Amino acid sequence: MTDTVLWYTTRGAGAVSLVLLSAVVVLGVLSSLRFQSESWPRFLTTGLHRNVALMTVVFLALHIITAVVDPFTHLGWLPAVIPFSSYYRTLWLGLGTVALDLLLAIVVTSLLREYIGPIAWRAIHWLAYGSWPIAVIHGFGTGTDAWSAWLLALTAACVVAVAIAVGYRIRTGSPDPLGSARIAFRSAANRREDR
Amino acid sequence: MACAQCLATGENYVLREDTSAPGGNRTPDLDVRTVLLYPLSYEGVWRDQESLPRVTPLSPTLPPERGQGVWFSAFSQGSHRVDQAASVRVETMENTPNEAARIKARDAAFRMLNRLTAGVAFAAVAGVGLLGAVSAQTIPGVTSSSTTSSATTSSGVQSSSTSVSSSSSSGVAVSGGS
Repeated sequence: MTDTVLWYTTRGAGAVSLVLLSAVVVLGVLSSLRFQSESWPRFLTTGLHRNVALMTVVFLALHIITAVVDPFTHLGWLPAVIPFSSYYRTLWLGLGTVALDLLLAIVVTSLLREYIGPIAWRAIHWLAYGSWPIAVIHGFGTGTDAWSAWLLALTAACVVAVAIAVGYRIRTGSPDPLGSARIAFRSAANRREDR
Repeated sequence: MACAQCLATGENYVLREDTSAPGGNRTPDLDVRTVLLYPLSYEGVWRDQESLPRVTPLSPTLPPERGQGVWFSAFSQGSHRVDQAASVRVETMENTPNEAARIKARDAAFRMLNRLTAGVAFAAVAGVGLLGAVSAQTIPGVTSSSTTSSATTSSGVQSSSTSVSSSSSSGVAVSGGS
């Protein structure tokens, strides 16, 4: 396998990973909104969210492996795990490592959700809102094609999709049907403790 | 008759002699009850057991004395503990047209999930190849050592051996793969 094939694969897998990661974020937001229709039950959103997230990890692994074994950069495996430990484009590559670590934390805690409980899982899952923009910045900073028209269009489409989903999520607020009851209970419990 | 706890706390918590079930609710603390629980009333109401709906066991092999069924009622938890082996009628969801339609819709959704997942995976693999090829043709600022481009030929005719022409405005020819 020649160096250039590895390089092209790294770039292609990186772009695909960004698209998949954006799709995961959008599907996650749709899940939290409890989106459903007659032909689209709610579990379809969560199932697709889970499957695409696992798929993202696979393509991210391809992106990282091809980058590490590429003899041109001599990255080594350490910078793939430990942020900002690379001599090569330390900041931008480190941001990619941060995004990867956050994503791994999200995936692992999701797989172990039954053991860690919903509160810890939810708290860690919120890191997804940090992982995605860091990955976008990593692509802009270190990507060879960052300012190519095709990658700019691809990144812009991802940013617009995620911005619309997150904006709608913020505007609609919590769709939890028991949300008000939970708040009332907590306030009553606090009042009782104060007595 | 008031229970001992009620006498001690002063709560109006009356037990009925005929049922031994509390005449109030089980969470008399209003502050907690109103926000935590829907007010559960377990006031005892004694009814003729024969008038209550019975749950018939499905299995005909159950012994007769255990197959008489139990009474599902909201006023006595004790009844739920009686004869649990013969207590439940298990109906499969296919028994009703509505449930059958829901199962059909669920299976269709599962098939759609599998198809979508496979489609996304296929598109992603294809995307790696496609975007890799696109990136190979749009490498900025890299010149090819083996390319004879129209910029270097004196005749101005583009060579047929040129691999890929750069799309950048600099007009530099690049290699599509070496």
